[in-house]
Amino acid sequence: MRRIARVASMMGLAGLLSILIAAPAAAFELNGGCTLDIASTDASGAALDTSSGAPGGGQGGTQADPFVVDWDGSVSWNGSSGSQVFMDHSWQVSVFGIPTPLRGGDPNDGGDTTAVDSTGVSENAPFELTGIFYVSGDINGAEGTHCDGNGWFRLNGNPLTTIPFWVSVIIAAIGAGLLLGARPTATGATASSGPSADEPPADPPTQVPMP
Amino acid sequence: MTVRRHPLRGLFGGFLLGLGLALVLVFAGIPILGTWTVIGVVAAFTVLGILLAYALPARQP
Repeated sequence: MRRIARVASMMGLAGLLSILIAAPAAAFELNGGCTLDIASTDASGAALDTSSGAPGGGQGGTQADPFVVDWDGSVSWNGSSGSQVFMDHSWQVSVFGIPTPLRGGDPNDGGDTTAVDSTGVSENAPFELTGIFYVSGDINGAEGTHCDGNGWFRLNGNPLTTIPFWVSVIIAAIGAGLLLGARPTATGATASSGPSADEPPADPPTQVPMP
Repeated sequence: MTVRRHPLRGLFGGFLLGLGLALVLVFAGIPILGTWTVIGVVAAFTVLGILLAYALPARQP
């Protein structure tokens, strides 16, 4: 058990170093021939930010210049699949490289190649969020049609007034407590040793009164 | 005298601490590791938790 944990630790460190070294450049990049123009407005409806994706990196949507979104505002988009027609397609979205439940698909029987729409930001989340997010996604259709893209966006606001921020603080505090409890303990017993100790100690012997 | 180690507590403690810190960084708009902010911080603290479970000096009962 101890050896396995040590090997796992070394592999984890090696993996961490490799992914950090191989971190891709951050840009609003679209690959596969698709194009996307997005625009945001603030709560009053005034224009807030615009961005466009293109192969090799478009305008805005980078870590240094993220696409800015207002929680009480809206986002509109104008996308095209170019010369490709995504029949019977499926799509999915990842945040910081972690797949999310944001996924779907459509037969696209009409053979549409463009999408123009808008939505309110707060209508699409159960609670307020703030922060900066790296979002990536891809869409795959019949006959090998494919597009993928990635970019950064920032949700304006004060994190201290949002529920997710404080839930994260609580998760970190629980983790810190567990980590403090992970410190090895010295015991008087000599029968066993080693890392089998994530189990409660045995009950102390009870004292039986003499008759 | 034997030393009882707690690698599972270290693993889960490190994972939760890393996850919480990573989310705090994201929500506060401080992606210190770029696109690897979440995965990198969680992985680093998980490994750190395991290492601490082995490397820290034992506390006396």
